[in-house]
Amino acid sequence: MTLSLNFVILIKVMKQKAIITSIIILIFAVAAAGFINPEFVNEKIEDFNENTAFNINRRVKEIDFELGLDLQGGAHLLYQADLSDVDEREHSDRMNALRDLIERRVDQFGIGEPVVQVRGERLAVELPGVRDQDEAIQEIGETPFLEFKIERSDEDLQKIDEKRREVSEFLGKEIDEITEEEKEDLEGEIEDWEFAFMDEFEETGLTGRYLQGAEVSFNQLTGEPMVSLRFDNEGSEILQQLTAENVGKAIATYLDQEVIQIATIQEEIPGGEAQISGNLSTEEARELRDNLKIGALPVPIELISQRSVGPELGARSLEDSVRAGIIGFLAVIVFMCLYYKFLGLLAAASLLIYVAFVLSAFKILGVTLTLSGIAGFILSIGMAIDANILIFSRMREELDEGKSFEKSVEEGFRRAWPSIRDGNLTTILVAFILFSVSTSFVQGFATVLIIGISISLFTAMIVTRSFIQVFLGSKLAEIKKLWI
Amino acid sequence: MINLTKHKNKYLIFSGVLVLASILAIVIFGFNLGIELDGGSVLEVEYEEERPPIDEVRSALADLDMGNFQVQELEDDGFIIRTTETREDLYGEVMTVLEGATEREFESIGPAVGEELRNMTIIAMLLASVLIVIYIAFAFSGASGPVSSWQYGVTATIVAFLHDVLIIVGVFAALGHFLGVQFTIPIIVALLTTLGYSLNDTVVIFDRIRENIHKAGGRFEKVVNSSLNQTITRSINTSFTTLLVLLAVLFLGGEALTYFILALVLGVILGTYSSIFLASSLLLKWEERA
Repeated sequence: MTLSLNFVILIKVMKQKAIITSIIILIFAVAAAGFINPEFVNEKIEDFNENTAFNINRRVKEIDFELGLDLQGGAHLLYQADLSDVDEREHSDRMNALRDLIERRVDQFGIGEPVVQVRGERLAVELPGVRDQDEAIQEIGETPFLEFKIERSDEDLQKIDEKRREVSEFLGKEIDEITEEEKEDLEGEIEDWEFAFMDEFEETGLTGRYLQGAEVSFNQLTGEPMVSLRFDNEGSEILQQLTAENVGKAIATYLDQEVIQIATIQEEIPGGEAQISGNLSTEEARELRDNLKIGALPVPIELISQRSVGPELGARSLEDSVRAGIIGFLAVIVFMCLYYKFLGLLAAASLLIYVAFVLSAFKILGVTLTLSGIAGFILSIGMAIDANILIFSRMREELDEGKSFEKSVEEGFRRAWPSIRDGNLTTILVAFILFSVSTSFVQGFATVLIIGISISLFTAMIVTRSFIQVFLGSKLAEIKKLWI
Repeated sequence: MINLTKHKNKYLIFSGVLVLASILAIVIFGFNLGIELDGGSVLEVEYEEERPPIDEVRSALADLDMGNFQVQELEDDGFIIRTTETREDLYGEVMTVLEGATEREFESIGPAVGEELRNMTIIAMLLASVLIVIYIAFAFSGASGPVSSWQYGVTATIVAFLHDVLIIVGVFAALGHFLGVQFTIPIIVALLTTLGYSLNDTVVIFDRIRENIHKAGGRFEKVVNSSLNQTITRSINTSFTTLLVLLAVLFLGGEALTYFILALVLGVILGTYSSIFLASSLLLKWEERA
C-alpha cells in the first residue's frame, strides 16, 4: 500500500519536473526563433510601441547568417610564398607583413568583408562578391608601391584648408562624403575648388625603387626604437636635396597609397641613410621595417589554386537547398505523425525545436554556412529523428508486453540510449576526422554535423522525454491506441 | 513473424554479384579523379541566349595552349570545361574565346595542392578505418554462443567495407566512365559518413542477437530471425527518414550537390539492406560451417 502510494508521488514529481522543463525549453525555443528572425520581432515591437502606451526599448540583436563564398558568390585565392631566400627566423614576420599588405590592397576593392589569412607559407584570400577575379588577381599580384611624400608649402596648406571649408559649407557635407558628381557642380561656383580634395603631402620622386634596406635599431642614449633606412646612390641624392630644402617639415611614408608613417625632418641628410623615429614601440618599428622592406623587396608569391562562384549560382544554390531542406523537414514530420501518431507529433515538436536551436547556434558561434554545411544540416534533421524512432520502437515493445505507460517510457529511453549514444558518437568521430581534410566543402559539412548531432542528443533525450512525461498519469496516457 | 532468413543464399548471391560487378567496374574503368585530387581547372559557363554548338566551342578551345581538355554540355544553357592545365591566365583566355558566356563557377587547383589534398584524404580514410575497427572490437568483446565475438566483428567489417563502400565506389567508377562524373572529395566524405551509419545499424542487430541468445536460447537461425523481426522496423524507419531528407535535396537541392547526395543515398540504402539481410546471412553461414 505504501509502496504504490510512493509510486504515485514519484510519478507526480516526475510529471511536475517535466512540465517545468518543458516550459523552460519552450521559452528558449521561442527566444531562439526570435534570434533567427530578429527583423520580424523588432518590427512587432515597433508596432506594439506605436499602438499602445508602452514603450519597449529592448531590441533583438540583428545578426545575419554568415554565408560562404559558394552561396553569396565570390572568389577564393590561394597563394604560395617563395621564402627560399629568407632566413627561417624571419618567415612568420615576412608572412604577416605580406598579409597586412594584401589586406590593404583588397580593402581597396570595396567589397563585402574580404578575409586574408596566413597558412604556413601560404596566403589564403577570400573575396566575397568579387565579379572579375582576373582583375582582382592582377591587383593583388602587383608589386606594392612605396613612396615618400613631403608636406606642401604653408601657402598651399592654408589654401587647402580654406577651400575645404568653403566646399563643405557650399555642399553642406563633409569633404570625404562628396561624390564625383557633386564635384562637377563646384565648377564655376568656387575658384580653385580642386584644392579642397588635395592631399596635404606632395610627391617627391623618392620611392621604394631607391631603397636598399631597412633595419630596426635603437637610439643609444634613450633606447628608443627607430627604423634605419638605406638608399642607393641615386636615392641618396634625392634624399639629400629634399631634406636640405625642407627642414622642419613633415615627411610621410606611403605604402600602396596609404600613409603608414609621418616623421619630421630634423636636418639635411647626406649619405643616403635616414632614421624614422619618435613615438614608435618596438613592435611598431618592426612592422614598419617589414612594410618598408616589402615595398622594396616583396616576397614573391604564386597563385596555386583559385575558385570562384558567380553570384547568380550562389543565390540559386542557397534558394534550392533551403527549399529542399524545408520539404525534407515537412516530409519527416508527416511520416512521424502518420506512423507514430501522438508520439510522432511530440517528436515533430522537438524536431522543430532542434531546428530553432541549431540555426541560432550557427548565429551565436558565427558558423560560415556553405552549401555542404546546409546539406549537412538537412542530413542531421534526418538523423536527429532517428533517436526518437529508436526510443519509440522500444517503448512500443514495452507497451506491447503489457507494461504501464510510466514504465514503458522509462524503459524505452533507458534501453534505446546505448544505440543512440554509439550511433551519434561514431558520426561525430568521423566528422572530427574529416576536419583533417582542409577544403571548405569538408569543413563546412563536418562543422555543421558536429553541432547538429550534439544538439540532437539534447532534443531527443531531454526535450522529447519531457514532452512525453507531461502526460504521465493523465487520461491521455491511458488511451493505449494513441501511443502504439 | 516473417521468415527473414529463409532466402539467405539468395542475399549472398545478390550481394556477391554486386560486389563482383563493382570490382570489375573499378578495374576496367578506373577512376575519373576530380581536380581537387589530381590538380587541374574546371570552368562552368552559361549563355543568356542560345549556346553555340559544342563542336564549335571545342575547336575554338583547341587553338589555346591548354593541354588535354574536355567540354560537356551543362543543362540546357551552358558548358562545363575541364583541363589539366592550371596556368594563371588561362581563365581570361578561355572567357575571351567563349563570347557571350558568363561564368557560373571556376576552380583551378595546382598539382601541389592536389597532391596535398589527396594525401590528407588518404590519411582521413585510414584514420576512420582504424577508428571503426577499434569501435567494432569494443562493441563485440566478450560475446558468447555458437558464433564467437571475432566472427561478429569480422562480419560487420566485411559488410561495411567490402560490400557497402566497394559497391558505391564501383557505381562511381561506372558513372565516371559513362557520364564523366568525377570521383571527388565530397564522395569520399559521403562514403565515410555512411560507413559509420551502416556499421551502427549492423551493431544494433548483432546486439539484439546476442541479447536473445542469453534470454531465450534455441536454434541459432531462429534467434537470428526473431532478432531481425524485432529490429527491422526501427532499421527501416531510421533509414527511411534519413532518405526522405536526402531525396528532397537530391531532387530539389540544385545540381551542385547531386553526386554527393547520390553517394549518401546509396550508402543509406546499401547500409540498411546489408545490415538486415547480408550480415545475418553471413553469420548463419559461419555457424553452419562450425
